[in-house]
Amino acid sequence: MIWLTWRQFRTQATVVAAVLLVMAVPAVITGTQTRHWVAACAASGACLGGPPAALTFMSQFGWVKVLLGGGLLAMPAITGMFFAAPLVAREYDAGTFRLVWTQSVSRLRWLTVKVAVVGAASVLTSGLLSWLTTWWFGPADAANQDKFVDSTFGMRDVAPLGYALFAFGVGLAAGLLLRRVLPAMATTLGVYVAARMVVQMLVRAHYAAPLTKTAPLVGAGAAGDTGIKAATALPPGSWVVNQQIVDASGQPINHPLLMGPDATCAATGSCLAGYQQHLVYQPGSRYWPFQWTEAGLFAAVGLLLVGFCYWWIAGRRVPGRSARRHPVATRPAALAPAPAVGALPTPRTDQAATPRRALAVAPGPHDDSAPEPDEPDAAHG
Amino acid sequence: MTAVLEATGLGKRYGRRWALTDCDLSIPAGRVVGLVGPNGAGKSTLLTMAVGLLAPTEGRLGVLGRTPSPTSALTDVGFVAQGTPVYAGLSVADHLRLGAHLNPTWDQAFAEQRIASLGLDPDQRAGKLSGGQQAQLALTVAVAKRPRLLVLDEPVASLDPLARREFLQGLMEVVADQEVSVVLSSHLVTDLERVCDYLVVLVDSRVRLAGDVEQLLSEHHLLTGPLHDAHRLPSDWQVVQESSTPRQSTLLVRTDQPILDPSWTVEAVGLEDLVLAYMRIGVGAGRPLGTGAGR
Repeated sequence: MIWLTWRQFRTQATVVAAVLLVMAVPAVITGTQTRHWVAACAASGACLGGPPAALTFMSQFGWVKVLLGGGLLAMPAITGMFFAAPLVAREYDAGTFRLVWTQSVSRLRWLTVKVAVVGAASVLTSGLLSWLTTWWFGPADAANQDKFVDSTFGMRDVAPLGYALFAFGVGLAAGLLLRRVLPAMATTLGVYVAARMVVQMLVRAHYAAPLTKTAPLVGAGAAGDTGIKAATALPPGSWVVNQQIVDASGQPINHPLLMGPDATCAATGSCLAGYQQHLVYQPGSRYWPFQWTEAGLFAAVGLLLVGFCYWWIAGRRVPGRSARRHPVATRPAALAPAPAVGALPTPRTDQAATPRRALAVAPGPHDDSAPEPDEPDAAHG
Repeated sequence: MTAVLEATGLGKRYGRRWALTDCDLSIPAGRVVGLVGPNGAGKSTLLTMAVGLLAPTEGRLGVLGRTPSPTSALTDVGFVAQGTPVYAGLSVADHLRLGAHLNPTWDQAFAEQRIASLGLDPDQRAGKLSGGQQAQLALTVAVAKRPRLLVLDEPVASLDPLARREFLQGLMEVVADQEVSVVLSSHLVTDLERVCDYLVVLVDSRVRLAGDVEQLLSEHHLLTGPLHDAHRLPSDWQVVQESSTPRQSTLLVRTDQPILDPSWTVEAVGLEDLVLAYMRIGVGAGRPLGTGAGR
């Protein structure tokens, strides 16, 4: 079974491994260069005081940034679409489920091996890419302290593993239910993108009750530093969920003054008396709890979907339990009270197994209402 | 002899549509059984349930004394599905490897020898084989598993006449070599009469006729004679089909007694005509069965 799984999976696995390699080579080279440069710079003392050295140096590798960021954003969707969605759908599409599910291996075991191998490969792929990305962006993240914000949170550390497992579950279930490769792939992509967006925009901020902080606005003060800011800084690495300027009575305002204060005001804050900045934020210390919550949430839904596939594939209807609902419509009722024409003469002694009603034919009108195609749609791709 | 396949009140519903209803059927072991019936009779549904790919909606089904279920492994039944599906991307040799990995009773020597005798290139991708070769490959995989029962669901329906003949030839060789019961479905009687020694006619989920082929042929007679009175026919005759002109009647009669009345011209009946007559019952073409038996 493992042989077959690998034999059917090796093309996709090779392609994705090649893609991973294409991303890894430049990332490792430029990432190593960055670290050497930062270390040399720090040792010489040449770049203290300015904007963080790593950011300056790394700005020349914008294309690696795009490669890794885009790659990690897309990778769970790619494995969901190309690993998971075809897993069952391809068997239905080609009709080969009738070949492979009628060997001496139960289809639950078939599914188990497939899920184990392909699922593990999916999670591993995104895991490796996330590890690489987190490492590459390490110097920049240390300087920016912005791992927690929306644009980077889902592309660091453990969250992508959860995404990968989620996309795997979606792809598997879509393939099982839709029975066609392309619709299953499209569904996987759509559900993955929708889930990521919904969680990022509506759910993530509520993993823990956010903290709030209200601070008076002050002028920039220092020369060369323009604009107004809040008097108190947030803990490093915090994620500002929402911010508003409120007036003395606590009402949010959107005053033109604050959009473009004059130079005096910006420098001294003279015009800002009574205004405050109201911040809703998640402190940087919650970054890891949030990472695990995000990963756990997506992984749990993914595992639930895999469990659903087991339940579905095992056959939901128990044999023997009657589910007859409409005996009249398609049932050839005229045939029901078929008079037994009689047992056949059975000269052969070994014909004990001759059907009891070898000739069960009833008189009566032909039931035209049920010309049924021979191919059961559930059994036919 | 026990039954290899036994159905009692078997039914299968897809949504609101019943594909098979109240099917009672018993297929004896050690035979090559042809399951014949028009499209829509429920043949595929029956066989698909027999190999556990589908669960019955109602009724009971026993295959080799066990109830097939979607969750259990199919260890002693070989199945060639409708359209003889194979993996287009896998080579012929890969299919044998697949069989070997998925079946503890796999007979690799037999499989390799059969592939060689068919003249198939083991490195050829199955997708590039002709339809007939794909069917032969599917049959090889099913048979090399060394099953006690071989189930073939319309295996030749999509093949050209030559490939069809070769496939059935291959099937007969397999049956001659091995202790295996075979159930083969088709809507074409001509396919079956070459290989089958037992026939089951399934129409609208019902068994219209079942029995040993030779015995069925010897019991049925096509009689032509003067216009007769239905009530004066011998009591042991079952009139399967009747057509009359003002001057004479043609009857298809089933009886195990010799036809002694000299006013009838007796002809043997071919298997195809016989099956067609039974299929046509209830369509209105013939007189309802049973009244001629005079019981």
